[in-house]
Amino acid sequence: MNRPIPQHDLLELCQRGVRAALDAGADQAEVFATSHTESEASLEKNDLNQTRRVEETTFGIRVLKSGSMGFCTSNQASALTEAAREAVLLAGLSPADENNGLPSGEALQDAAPAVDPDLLDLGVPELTSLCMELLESTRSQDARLTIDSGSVSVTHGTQAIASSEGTQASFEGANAGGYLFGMCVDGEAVGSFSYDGDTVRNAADLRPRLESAFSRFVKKCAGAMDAESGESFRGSIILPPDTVQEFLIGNLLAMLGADRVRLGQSPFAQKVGESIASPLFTLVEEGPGLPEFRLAPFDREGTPRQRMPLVVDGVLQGFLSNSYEARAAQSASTGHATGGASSTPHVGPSCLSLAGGTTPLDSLSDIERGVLVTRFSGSTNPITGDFSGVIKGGFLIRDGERTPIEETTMAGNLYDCLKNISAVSSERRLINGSAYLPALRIDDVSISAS
Amino acid sequence: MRSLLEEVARGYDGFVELRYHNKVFRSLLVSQGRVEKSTVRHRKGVGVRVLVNGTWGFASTSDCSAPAIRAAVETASASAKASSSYRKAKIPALPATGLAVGDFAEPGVTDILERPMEEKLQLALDTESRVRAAASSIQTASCGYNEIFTEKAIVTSDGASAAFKLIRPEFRVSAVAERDGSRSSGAESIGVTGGWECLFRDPAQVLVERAAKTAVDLLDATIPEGGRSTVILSPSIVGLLVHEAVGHTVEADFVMSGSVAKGKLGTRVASDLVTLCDSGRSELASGAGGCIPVDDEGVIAGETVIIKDGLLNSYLHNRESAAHYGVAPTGNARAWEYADQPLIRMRNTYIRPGQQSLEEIIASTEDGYLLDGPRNGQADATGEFMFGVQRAYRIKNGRIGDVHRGVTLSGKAFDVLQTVDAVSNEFLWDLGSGHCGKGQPAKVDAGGPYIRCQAMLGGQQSA
Repeated sequence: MNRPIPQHDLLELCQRGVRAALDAGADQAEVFATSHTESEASLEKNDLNQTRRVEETTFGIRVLKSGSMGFCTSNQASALTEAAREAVLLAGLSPADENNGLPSGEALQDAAPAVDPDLLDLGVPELTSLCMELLESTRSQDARLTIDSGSVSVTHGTQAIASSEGTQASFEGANAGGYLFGMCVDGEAVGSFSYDGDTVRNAADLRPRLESAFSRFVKKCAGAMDAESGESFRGSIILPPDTVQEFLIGNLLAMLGADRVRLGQSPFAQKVGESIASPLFTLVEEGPGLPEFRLAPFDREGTPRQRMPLVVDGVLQGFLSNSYEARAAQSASTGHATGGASSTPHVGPSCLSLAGGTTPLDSLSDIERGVLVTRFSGSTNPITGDFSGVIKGGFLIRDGERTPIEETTMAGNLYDCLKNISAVSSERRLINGSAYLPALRIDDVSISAS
Repeated sequence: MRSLLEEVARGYDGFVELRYHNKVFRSLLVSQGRVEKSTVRHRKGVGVRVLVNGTWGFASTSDCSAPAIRAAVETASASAKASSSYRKAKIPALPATGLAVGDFAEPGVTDILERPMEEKLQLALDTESRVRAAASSIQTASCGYNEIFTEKAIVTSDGASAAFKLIRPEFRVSAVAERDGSRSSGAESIGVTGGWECLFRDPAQVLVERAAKTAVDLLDATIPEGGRSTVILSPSIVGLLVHEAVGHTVEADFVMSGSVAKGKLGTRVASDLVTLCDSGRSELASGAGGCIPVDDEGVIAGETVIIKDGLLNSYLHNRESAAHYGVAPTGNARAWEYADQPLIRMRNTYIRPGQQSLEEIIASTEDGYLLDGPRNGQADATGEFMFGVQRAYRIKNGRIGDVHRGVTLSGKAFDVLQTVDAVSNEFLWDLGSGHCGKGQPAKVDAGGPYIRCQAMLGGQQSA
């Protein structure tokens, strides 16, 4: 497999970009660049679809001129000078903002690459073989299973950042992963879509982790068959870890950014130190990543990443910020600038963990009546917290017994749900290396069935 | 570029598809008087697809020179050869079909590109300011302007040789209102394939007023009781319905995987008031946001009638699926950027207008809701769909009443379409500012008239 541009060569590209931007008239300049190669074997309609091999290098130039910001990104390294000029031109159009600026940076020491050499030995033939083996072993678990799409892939990448304010950092990483997307079909009966997958840093983990993910996929698909209409009531919902991530954490995190506080959109503004969730809820941003999945030690602005408790025992601890939000709030950046080379830095988490509880996973459903929500297909307004949508592949739970349901919706308010968490599983699952989450039980949610 | 691709393609015996794609994406975002974003993104390269031993191989290069493209062809060929023994159902040679040759154009490219960015930024600044001034309860506003310039050349070894340019400008406005600790939001957006006048068929001020009114009106709105209801869908919600509920289930790759539309050609899937189409052109009204003159396999992107008078008439095809079903390709193969392989995607999907006016339909509705303002939407293999709606107006005894918020609409596509009992004579494209997601994004549009049907409203249950 071809390699991405070595990290020091990529850093040199960034430094050339910074010089080009300063020559074009910028007061400050920053260049963030990524280079990657990817090999993939993909599935469609229960068969090999195609093999794919791509490589690309992208850089993004952010400039400040007289307090205004401009940004240009390109995948043409030969267009570095032209892109620098365009970024300066864009900056010239915008009104000045006293909080605009680049962070005072430092030259960070090279972090050890997060590259398992065995991963780089996985070329198209090896990936295709693994992909087809996993397809067959997964389909053998249930004859009704049909795979709409899926893939197994390996990505090897480097990233680098340099700025006129002294920032210099680079990193190299490789990961592999896969997913399956499909459903069960039995004669005229078609089950609900399901999806599962995983991402790993080590070659030895790839097969077992995908086998686990694809076994979960089979259970979700099979569980969605023979579904009946549910019941209308207010009661408990149980969210497995992946639903916790999609339904709860994603929307919550949007409102824990300092940008949302500044824009007057976060319902948590002025609530640091106050209870916003059940005492069972402790959420931590894991900064440079978990031991199983190490991330670059710096954020999108080159600021060192740090671990940050966000909610402890239900009490809000603080907000994520990048350098702009820190200046606007007259505080220090928490090192949570996110984004890639093709976008300006924004605010967000890199990796999250939610503390496990004391309830065994199987005991979460020890309730009189409730619904297990395998997937939520709905609409959530993170500003108000209102949500409403369809429960997909769900199960009605009555006295511990599960019955698959369809055409059942749930509605409520996300921020009320945080307060209504009544149980947290002791088991947790690492999801794509970026989230380590338990299952949750949440009370007093409105369920409607046709 | 087209001639360069032709030259490269001539050097190979087997099937080779070369697609040059240059995309320039300019984006402005203003919020609270600050320019939050002023960016430009350039991305170009060539995507290469080969068919070797009945197996696809794909590679891409950002280097658009002939040697780099040839190297990508070799990489794709080597990948296909190495993996072909694993493919069970070998793809036969693609049948001959009418492929596009020549240069094509969509309107508005020069108009948008030559209009100064200063003018676009000033409009965004002024508009955002007007939203904040629209009502005292509005706390936050934003205004965004995007334009996506696309330049493509598609050449295949069996005769396609086409090139085109198009532009898709988008404009969006949002408002957040707050009173006594209660918050609500309103958003309006438009996206077209075309020029400035096409984008602002409604002046920016109209979007300002609508977004602000929604945010303010919803402050006092309650969530309706959930359950099955009679609903009148506005053109934007009809757009979600036809895209999410029907369009995805008739994409032939998905049909072959076992979607609910499999085996239903010629059968009744909707009331006879429903004729539903997908087109690469902007039918019935100008500016649809998903227009393409030619798809990414070099097939002319015309109109496909999916449901005719309630009967399922056609799936949406690429060349491979069309060969499988023994029909002509429908021009639905689309790739988001050069490094993406073409997938079967919708373009502009719509229901044809009927005979009644909206007023007549409301007047004849005893108990129900008028739904307007799309949020998100998703569909399932079962044809079960869900989409979010900003505003649900109660209808009682033929009259519009209070507005409710926080609703989702769901149901099974073909079941809901069978309940359509009224189709209005209006027509509007109204989803052009969004993207469809299917592994990769695609710019699409959808719309139609107002229709009345039965579906599930996701709402609250009493304790």
